[in-house]
Amino acid sequence: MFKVFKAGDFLILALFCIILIMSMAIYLNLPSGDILKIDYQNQTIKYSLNQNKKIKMGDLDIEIKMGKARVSHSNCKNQYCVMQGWISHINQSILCVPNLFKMTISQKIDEHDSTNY
Amino acid sequence: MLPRQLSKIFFNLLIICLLLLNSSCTKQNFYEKKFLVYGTILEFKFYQTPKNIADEAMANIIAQLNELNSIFHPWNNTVINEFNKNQITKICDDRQIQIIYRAYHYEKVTNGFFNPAIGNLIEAWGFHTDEIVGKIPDDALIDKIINSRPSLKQLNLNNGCLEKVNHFLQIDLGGIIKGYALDLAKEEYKKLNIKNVLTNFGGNIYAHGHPDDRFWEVAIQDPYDQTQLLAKLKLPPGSAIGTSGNYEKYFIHNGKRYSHLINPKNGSAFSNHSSATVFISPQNEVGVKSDVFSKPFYFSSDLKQTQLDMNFNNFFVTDLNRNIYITESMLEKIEWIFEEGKYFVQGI
Amino acid sequence: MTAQTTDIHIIAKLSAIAIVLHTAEFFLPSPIFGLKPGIANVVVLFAYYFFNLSSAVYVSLIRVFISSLILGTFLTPTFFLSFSGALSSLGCLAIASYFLNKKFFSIYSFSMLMSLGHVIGQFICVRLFIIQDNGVFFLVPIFIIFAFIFALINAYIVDKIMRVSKSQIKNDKIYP
Repeated sequence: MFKVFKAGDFLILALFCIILIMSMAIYLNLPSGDILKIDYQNQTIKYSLNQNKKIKMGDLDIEIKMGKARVSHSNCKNQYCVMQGWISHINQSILCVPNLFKMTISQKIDEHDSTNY
Repeated sequence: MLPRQLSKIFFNLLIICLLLLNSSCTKQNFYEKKFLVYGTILEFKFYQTPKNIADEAMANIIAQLNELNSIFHPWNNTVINEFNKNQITKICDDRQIQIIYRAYHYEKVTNGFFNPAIGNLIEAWGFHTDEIVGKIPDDALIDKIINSRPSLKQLNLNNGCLEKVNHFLQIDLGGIIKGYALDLAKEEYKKLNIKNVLTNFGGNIYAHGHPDDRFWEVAIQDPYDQTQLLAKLKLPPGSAIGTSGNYEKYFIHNGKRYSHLINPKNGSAFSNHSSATVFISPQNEVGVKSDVFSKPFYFSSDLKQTQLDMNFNNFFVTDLNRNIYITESMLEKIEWIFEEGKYFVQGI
Repeated sequence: MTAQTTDIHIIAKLSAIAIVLHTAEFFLPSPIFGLKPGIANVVVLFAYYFFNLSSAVYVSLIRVFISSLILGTFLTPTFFLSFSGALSSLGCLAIASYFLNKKFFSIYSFSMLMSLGHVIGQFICVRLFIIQDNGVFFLVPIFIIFAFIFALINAYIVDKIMRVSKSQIKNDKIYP
């Protein structure tokens, strides 16, 4: 198989690697968010991530801890929402489609370095 | 042949573009990390600091914080708890005594509004647990405690050991530990020659140095709505900001909010104020001051008088009716970012 | 029957094979968010090398449309995903075939570029029309890795087939 490789292939290979690395840059330096925005059954509720709290929304249990949030329990079949674990970076989100549930991390207004509370 | 040359140029350009994009995608050299230590969120934001040095600093600071908590945590199995419950009668460790004396100093400076000797009261209101179990204590119990005037003054130093005079005295350093940790962090940064880092311990922030062409900028949370912001300000290098608020640890009973901030003068967990925020200009013990100085104003019934008593001018207080009382000096430093008409700002 | 008619017959058969492969693949479970090996691309790649670019386009687009009709996913998000992936994949193939000299770029290059185009096209489609959230881009790296692997596998398969059918090459394009 390797006899078929030609000079130009390595160029394309390099291109692939560069694109791969670039796409992974999204995982670095992700700013942490401050607010958890929950969309559940036509309601939108926001919670601050600067607290340790457990929330019950219908059949879902949500936990906020140490600036992160997760779905700790759900009655849905596939459990994708629970399996995803903790989210904490801006734009990260967890969905539970059967329950019409979505939670996202968003940032408060403005570019400030930290929040006093 | 033209197509071949073209393809060479094309791919060269493509690679160059991608590399340029790549370098501009990576943000400026900020390094952020969060931790949870004994229920408090610790945030570090380093600027232009080598990652290994930042990691070392954070590890050292957290180790020190853990050590402090292992000694002074108000309701776990600690030396202080044993002392409080009279299981041991003396504290003889030099360092522990030194810390307690420092807390006593600030009890005096704040005229007793920061009182590290009211662990009994805090426990009576149900705040000495990990999950808040609020309870309304007997008036009789509160009276008994208040009448004994708990204060760190009621410790005797005998042969290098501290002993209790007042049976009701229980040491609770919860109101100073965050600030103290900030000062520890400051020492650690100086020791490791770290120039620019923003440290946030449970909401109290200390600004060390500054990022290149600006100061560290912080926003102050809206005391009525934790997802909104009230104001923002720039922190000159070496300054700190701290807020005491009734929204962090509290329980609601009959429509009234009782918070973990217990008034040492009357033993009440209810206050007409929602929060008090102080700004400490660069000075010694800037962290501790950012923690303890907010208490006098939070508990004050006459802000102007407290301002004179403390000889301190950089603060604002919010009350339960959406009033914000702020000094001129503090007003100059901040910028309001709430919706027009949401709060009523008044000078003191 | 002219040679051209026979060509069209072969292309039709290739399309049929592609449809079968695509349809079968649809029913295979995917561990992550709909990641599939894209076996049908073998046929497209083969059509490209055996005939020419426009044949590959035919095979691919016929595959997308007819499969979706068979599976009942026509005009559903699945179809648009498939369609956008195929379009951008073919687009990349077209650009590659114009710019890249086959003396320097083997079938592996073309296969990799096709799969890269496919992934990019699909993500653009998803981001714009299906999940309007930047969170989808978290999945890009893993899709790219698998695209790379499957591209190599597909190229290997087509390479083997081309060598066997070398004696039946109609035009005078050099292969390999």
